[in-house]
Amino acid sequence: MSVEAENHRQQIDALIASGDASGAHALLADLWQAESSPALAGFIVSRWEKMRDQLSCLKCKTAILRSFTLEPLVPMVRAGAAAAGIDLDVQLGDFNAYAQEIIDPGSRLYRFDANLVILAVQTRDIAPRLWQDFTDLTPADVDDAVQRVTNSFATWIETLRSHSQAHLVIHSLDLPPRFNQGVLDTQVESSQAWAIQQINQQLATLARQHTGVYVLDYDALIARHGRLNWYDPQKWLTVRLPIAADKLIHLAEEWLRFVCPLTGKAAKCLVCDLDNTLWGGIIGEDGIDGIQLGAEYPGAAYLELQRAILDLYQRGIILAICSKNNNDDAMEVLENHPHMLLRPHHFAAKRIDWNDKVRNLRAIAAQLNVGIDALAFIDDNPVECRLVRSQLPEITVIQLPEDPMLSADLLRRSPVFERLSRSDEDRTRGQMYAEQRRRGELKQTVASLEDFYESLGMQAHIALVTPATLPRVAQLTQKTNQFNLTTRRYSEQQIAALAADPDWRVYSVQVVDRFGDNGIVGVAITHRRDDIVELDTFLLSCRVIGRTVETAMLATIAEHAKEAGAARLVGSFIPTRKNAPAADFFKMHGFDCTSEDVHESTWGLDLTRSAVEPPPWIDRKVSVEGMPHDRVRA
Amino acid sequence: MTASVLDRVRQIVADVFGLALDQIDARSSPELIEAWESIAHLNLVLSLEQAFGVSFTPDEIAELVSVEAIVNKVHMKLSQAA
Repeated sequence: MSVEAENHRQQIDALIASGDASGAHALLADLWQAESSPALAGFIVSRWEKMRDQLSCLKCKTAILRSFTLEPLVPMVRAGAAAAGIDLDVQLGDFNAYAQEIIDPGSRLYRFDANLVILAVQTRDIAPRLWQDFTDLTPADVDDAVQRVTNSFATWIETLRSHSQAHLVIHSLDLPPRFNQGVLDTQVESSQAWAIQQINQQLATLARQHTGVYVLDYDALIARHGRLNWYDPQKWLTVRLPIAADKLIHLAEEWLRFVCPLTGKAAKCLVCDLDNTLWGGIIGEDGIDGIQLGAEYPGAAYLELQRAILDLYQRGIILAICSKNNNDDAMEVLENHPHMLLRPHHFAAKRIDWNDKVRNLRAIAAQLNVGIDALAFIDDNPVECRLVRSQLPEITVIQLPEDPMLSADLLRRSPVFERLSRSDEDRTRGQMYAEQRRRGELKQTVASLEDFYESLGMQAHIALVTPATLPRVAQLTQKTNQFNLTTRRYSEQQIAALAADPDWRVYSVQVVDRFGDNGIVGVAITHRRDDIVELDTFLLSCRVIGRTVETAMLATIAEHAKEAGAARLVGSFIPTRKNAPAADFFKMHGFDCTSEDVHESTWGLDLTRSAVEPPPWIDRKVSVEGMPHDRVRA
Repeated sequence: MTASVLDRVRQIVADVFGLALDQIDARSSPELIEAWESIAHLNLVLSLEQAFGVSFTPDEIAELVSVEAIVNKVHMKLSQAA
């Protein structure tokens, strides 16, 4: 316990007492990142409960079903979530009562109405014969055990899905630290390892067949931290806690890797410092030949971090630079240093100057058209990190450790880059941002806006959602904040349920132009009631705002509504802190305002008299081939 | 590690039960701290094990009934390990 950590606690209490909740939260996050221990979790949770009402935090209700003692994990996962600005409400199922709780529709589990259900089981509880009696089993017994456990998982998934829309995360089964038959296990068919891995593979297949069901690789988690060190036999035999005290945090962190993407705590952009972050040393002082970067120690540590950053870029995270430097010095390294993995074309925005970083981070968010909360910031300098945390609490700050050899792992551990499904857009996002820069350059060379629209050669593919587009459509409802009329968030399984309902239509819009494919950038959800069609959701990615795509979408919806015999198209605008760009949408398209207060305005268009004029410069390709109306699989 | 074992144990006990450091002294015990019930005791034991890198036997866990008893036991464990 350092003196600094103790002072931290006193400062947090002083800030809470003075009413500065965001200042207190910044320090709280600082403290948790420096020392994520079971004891500190108690402190974090008790102070979080005093400040959370004054913060705008994400909320997640998580039910944990389990076959073993997990009580000590609850404060730890709640503390980790609190540090990330998520208020996690945890309901722990009764000890080893997971099956009853899933099967009984009136159980505490379903009354809780969770957003996320975690099924934490382990091999010795769910398949005791495979764990401890393995040497007694014939190959037929082994097959039988594998089949029985797999069937149980299938039943639990189906049953839970029929009672709840919650996301479901299931622990995979763990291998024993020592096989019952020793090294022989690896030599024979129907081995102990094979049997458990079979169950895990079939569990992964089951999860892929259902929307919103995911596997937490518990066995890989244990292996990562050392199998023999993971378990604590004494705690298991006395209080049914199988996990050693110093390993508990790793399971809590693994849960958060699911909580973060599911609650929308997700960074879209990583903003990187340069000196002592992407390379060792200071370019302005050491020069391009003096900085540390290369295949050997110490430069190799920085190369490892660059490799981790490049992985994020390939996964669809936008990269940017925010550095206090002379631009020319830094660009020389980016362009010409032989060992740089990251080059200028990887970065969608650069602020290399002597302005303060808070101001530059705001400018980067504005340039990329993303919210401040969509940024993660990586820097080695504790003062800069502290400043950014306190001034821009929405940003995820990743402060590099003193030892640069630990940096890459720290970045890879961060939960804000986790995603639970991958859309095609994610894979090519970096490229699309490069194309966006070139569109911006074109805009400056053409005279009128109409000429600009014409020059883009836009095609809008407007279609009903399909299993292939479902993940992206759900992702857009969860992530789009600016051009979003109602900001209703839907999970994949909720979208699938709406698409299967004949009164509802879920549209996706893909925009292609002469610079490339923008991917799916718009979603509209309509609900038919008698002769009225209501816009439940209407949103557009910031990538294509200002190009009249919304008018093409609305025109198509109005045409479909009229064809279906509707007399009115109605909708509402629900203002948020971020959706001002959509505020004039209804007015601009000739809708009449039918009611208005601070929380919501409602609008209507008489389809028997009016229509929405589609923009002539957009070539609309409309397809109404939708989802099969049976069970939807993503 | 600049603080004494007593100070570190006091801080851990304060953290686990969500109290301020100055509310905890050597005599603090389950009788005096309302939140110190059985699940919380398990949290406390795990926190001590993690913080000091030691492991308590079931019998020892039952004896950790005050800050003073914890400090003595931790000292014993650390000297055994040394």
